[in-house]
Amino acid sequence: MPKMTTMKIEAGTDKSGAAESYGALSFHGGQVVAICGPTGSGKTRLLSDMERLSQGDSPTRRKVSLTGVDEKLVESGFAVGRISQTMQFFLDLSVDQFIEMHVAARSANTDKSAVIKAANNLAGEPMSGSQPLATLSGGQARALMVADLVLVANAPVLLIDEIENAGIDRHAALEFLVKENRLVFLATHDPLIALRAHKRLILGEGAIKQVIETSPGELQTAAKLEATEREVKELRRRLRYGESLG
Amino acid sequence: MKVVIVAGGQGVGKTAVLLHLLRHAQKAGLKAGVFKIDALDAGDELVFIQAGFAAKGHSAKDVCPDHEAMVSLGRAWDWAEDLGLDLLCIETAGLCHRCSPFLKRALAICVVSGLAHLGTPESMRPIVEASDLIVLTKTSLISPTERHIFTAKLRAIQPQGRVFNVDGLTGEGVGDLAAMVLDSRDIRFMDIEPLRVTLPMGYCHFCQGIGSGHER
Repeated sequence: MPKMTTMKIEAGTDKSGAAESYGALSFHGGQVVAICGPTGSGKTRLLSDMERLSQGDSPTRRKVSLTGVDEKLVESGFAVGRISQTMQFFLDLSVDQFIEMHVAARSANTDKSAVIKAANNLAGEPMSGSQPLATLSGGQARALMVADLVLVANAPVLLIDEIENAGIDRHAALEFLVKENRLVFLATHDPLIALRAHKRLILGEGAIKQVIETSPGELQTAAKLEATEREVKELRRRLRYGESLG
Repeated sequence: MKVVIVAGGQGVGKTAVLLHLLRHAQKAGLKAGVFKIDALDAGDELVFIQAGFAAKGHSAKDVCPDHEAMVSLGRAWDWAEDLGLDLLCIETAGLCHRCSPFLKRALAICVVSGLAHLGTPESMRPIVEASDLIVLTKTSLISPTERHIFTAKLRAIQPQGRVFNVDGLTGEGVGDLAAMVLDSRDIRFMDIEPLRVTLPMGYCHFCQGIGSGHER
């Protein structure tokens, strides 16, 4: 039986240097965990600790460990895949060349058309394999990063910063990301994404203040939000095609 | 005294990485300083001095800084010894990267920017190949896949070199690098030669330092 991906976070300190109160937290493959909190509360910092598997040497002094994952992958530094808001493609390659090069670097056997198809499903506006990376729109670029990270890198832990601002279909993305034995962390300000997660971490002053499990009552709120969202989506469609919104 | 040579192209983040490295060294109780060799007298050593570290700028004038680094090692050593440094970092930005400024017995760090062209690791082969540690900077701006491809290119050239992802602005990732530096052994003045890689057969004007009075 394959081992379960487990990420353990041992408490560090908040921005003032005071100790965090949770002792240690463990998260497992198959879970989606939202990371919430006001701007400056330490969400990005937490993602950095997770990405680097910090060993008490980051400003937060947290210790993060990953087990149940191929050790070679952990050593190579690519067990945890992160997509942040500031990332862009800089390489002077076409979409096809980019995927081919990545597949070769990983010695993977992923079909590149599957990656493009998945990216198009997330982005809405289709890209072609011959298109240079530099000509992709913001949403297309982010969609390709996500599709590539999931299908080619197949990272056991994914960290995604504010997917709601990435210009991609959030629902399609959530469905695409969640997989048995993959652990997904989403830093978000979006209530629907937070409620779609199994649990959420609340940050403040640089510390993890609370861990909240999504309750049945909150799932009802999520269903209401989804209905509203569908309504807005329809209005947006009508707006785009010059129809009356009255 | 521990001696570290930090080499890489212009603007890749050598100074930023070194600044964080010095802070780690200071925390570990080491007296550390930088001997910085630049093509022009840009006063870049002030960054270190303002942060409270010993630093000396050395202008290579008409000579390539990597070449100048090799001939000014004695000067760097004397400067560091006079100050009683425990860790001497020599920073140099070569121009054409056909040669490598690394010494056999001093720790060799090569800095490459993650924003560079994919052919960069290959075009800087003498530095990448001869380094002990490779620092890849600005990786928080590129996709994880680009970072992976870049790392694979670097590893193909230097399979033994560990690749560190370091954010020069925040200092993220410098901890691991600092641990390797602090772990490096002390060397003596007589150890500062020889070079790891033989110099190229051909020289250009910058190697020779036209008009500067340098003897080759």
